[in-house]
Amino acid sequence: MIKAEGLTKVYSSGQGVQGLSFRVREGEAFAFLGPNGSGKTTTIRLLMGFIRPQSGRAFVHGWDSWRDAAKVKEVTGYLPGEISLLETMSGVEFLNLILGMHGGQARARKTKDRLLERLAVPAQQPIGKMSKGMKQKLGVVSAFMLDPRIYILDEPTSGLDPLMQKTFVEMILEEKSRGKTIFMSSHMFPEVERTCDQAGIIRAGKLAAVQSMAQLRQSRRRLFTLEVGSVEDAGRVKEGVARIEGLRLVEDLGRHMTLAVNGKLNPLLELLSGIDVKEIDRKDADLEEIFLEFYRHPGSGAGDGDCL
Amino acid sequence: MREAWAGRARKEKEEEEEDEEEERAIMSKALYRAMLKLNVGKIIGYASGNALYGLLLTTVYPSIAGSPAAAEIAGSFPATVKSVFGVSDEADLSTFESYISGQFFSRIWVLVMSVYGIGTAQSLLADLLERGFLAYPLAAPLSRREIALTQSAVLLTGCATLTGVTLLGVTWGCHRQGIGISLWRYYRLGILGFSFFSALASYSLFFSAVAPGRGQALFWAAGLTLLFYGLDVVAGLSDKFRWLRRLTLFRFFRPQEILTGQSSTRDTLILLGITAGMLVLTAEGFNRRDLPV
Repeated sequence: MIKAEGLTKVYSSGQGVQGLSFRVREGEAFAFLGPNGSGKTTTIRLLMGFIRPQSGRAFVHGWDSWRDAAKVKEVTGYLPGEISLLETMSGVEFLNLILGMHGGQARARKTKDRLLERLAVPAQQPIGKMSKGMKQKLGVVSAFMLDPRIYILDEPTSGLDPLMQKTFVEMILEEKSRGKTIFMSSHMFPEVERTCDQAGIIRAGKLAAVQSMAQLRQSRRRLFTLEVGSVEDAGRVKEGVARIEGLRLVEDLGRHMTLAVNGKLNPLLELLSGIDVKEIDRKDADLEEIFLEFYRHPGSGAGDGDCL
Repeated sequence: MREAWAGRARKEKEEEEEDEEEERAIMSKALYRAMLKLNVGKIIGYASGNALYGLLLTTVYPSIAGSPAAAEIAGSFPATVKSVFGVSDEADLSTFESYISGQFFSRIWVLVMSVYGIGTAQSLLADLLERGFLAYPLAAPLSRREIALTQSAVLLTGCATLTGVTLLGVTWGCHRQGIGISLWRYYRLGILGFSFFSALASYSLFFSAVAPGRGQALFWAAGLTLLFYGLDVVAGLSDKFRWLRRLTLFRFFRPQEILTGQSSTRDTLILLGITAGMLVLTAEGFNRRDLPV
């Protein structure tokens, strides 16, 4: 449904994307993860045909994103990363403009009213008087009311309060259950974890890995927070961690530390056998930690999947 | 029940037909309406300002025309000063046509319309692009040419409205004051004025479509207009510089000549040709460039 083949666009500043290749199948939800400046928005602009690739091609529903841009938009609902609306318009005027430009579909008008109610948007209000979150909700309505086959969403929950984030996750799950294809960039790991089937991790313009959520969950390391009785004990633990394969020091706060364990627990237990352990707690790394791990140590943790 | 169903089906069919009409169109009606609504305040402001100024000039004209001293003063201006104010050398300054051309049509009107044309052209593309709002038209199933053409139509609608309302103000003022004028010549001035301001606005829209930023677009459009204006003024100062007039767009807009029946249709056609050419270039430039919204 969405396909990128060696997609490259490098700006004079050096930022951009290089040789991106990935595929999102029909009915699949794909998360595009990466920090600011890693190339997420550039990729989305390439998929939407806003910018022309220097090399490679992108296809949406079989249409070339640049050459057949208008055709791509017939099947796509898009939410930009930054909601920039005309302050003098009211919410309703803006949505009617979007509907008008999409051919004024009668069915979409009913969906619009339903969504405005669901997301509690005071659409009669001038946009200039709306908060950032309210504008974001208006943007979400404008993408979802069109009932597109494919959603391309750039940081869709940015600016939404936790309650609305939950509603958004529900909306994504509903659309998924109706067979829609979803491509979204995000910083919100809980929403990605709940909604997406696959995640692509982009680093400095290059795709570091594409993994299924199941793979990512499997690759979770076990983390242990530890408090030892003395500074000497702490030194012995750190020395042991540096020596033993499968153990790593994630956080060092003197007598308090966080250790990551890959594989069996025995080496950790052996290391701690002669140590005065005051407190030990186990916590599972969530998707965010796996993601951060990717950036710190490209070859470790989640990198066990399909590195590209 | 069956009637209600038939009624609903008919309504849906009508809506579908409306949608199809939108699909066949070469520009977006919805975008045109929204952009026009956004600019309507500005159009009303400029139009009423122009019309009121024209009305004011026609109101005071009878008292000026009746005063021999005023005609003497006007006649005593050196040719260079007349040139700066767009009044031709041979013109008899005691006529209404000379008066209204020198006081309004040749310079002030051009200045006001230039500010309107350049400003609106920037706001319709470069400004919307920089603010990110263009993401929405671009995310709709419209080609970039359709979007550029729609914005061009909004720009030309403004030019036509401003030209029409300005001339209405002047001709109504003449009617009120009993000043005898040839309406046909004012009608021709309207067409020439629209063509001239459209040409000016269309190259501004071209810069707005292809410049990397709003600042550059404004700088290029205002710079070129000032250059044209400067060449026109310098060309009028001395016979030595008269050839410079060939290089400026302002050579085609001589309101006093058209009001005294001396201008040709060729100038209007050339200006309309420049407008059409620039709008095609605008659509092509907009179609090919990266739009990082």
